[in-house]
Amino acid sequence: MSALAPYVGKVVVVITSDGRLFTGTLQGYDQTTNLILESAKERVITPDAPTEVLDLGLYLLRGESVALCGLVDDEIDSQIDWYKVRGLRLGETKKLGR
Amino acid sequence: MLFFSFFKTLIDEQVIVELKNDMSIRGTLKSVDQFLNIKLDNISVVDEVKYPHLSAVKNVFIRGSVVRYVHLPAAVVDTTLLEDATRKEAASQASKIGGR
Repeated sequence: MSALAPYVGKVVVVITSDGRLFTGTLQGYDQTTNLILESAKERVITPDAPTEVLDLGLYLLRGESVALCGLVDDEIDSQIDWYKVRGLRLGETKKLGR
Repeated sequence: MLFFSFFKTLIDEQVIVELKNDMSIRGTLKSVDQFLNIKLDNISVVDEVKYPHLSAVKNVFIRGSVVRYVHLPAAVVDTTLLEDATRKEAASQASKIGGR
């Protein structure tokens, strides 16, 4: 069973179906992939401007909007200056009209 | 159930999961479940320069509903076994529908 249990209590990165990037501590989940993130932040990564970080607090993300949940490696994360990171805007998982 | 069982035989193989948001992630298949949610270890994003978003991440959980493709090494797949299993599955589906 592919569960998120090993990620609970750890810092995770969540990509949503509308192409947003969140990070926070995973407090809970269920089989529909609803997620509870504590100290959630949204990182807005764009190709031409410094990364924006928005503090959000305690968040519940509905499962159908969750695309991916990644376990953050603290060693690597502390070496990255997210402010300087540039990248493509993430796409949406549902194309319009379908 | 068939594809769930099929993916279980691929655990520990290297695969590339292409998501519906056009991102592709390479990694070792560690876990799959009934929804075909996938866990990959030791990932690398295929176009890391375009998608630096997962630079600090080594292991991911991918929701089955956002997977477009799972690219597999052909050598790992026993197509004869897969064909047999598909025939059996099709037969049992047909008999289920016929019995209503």
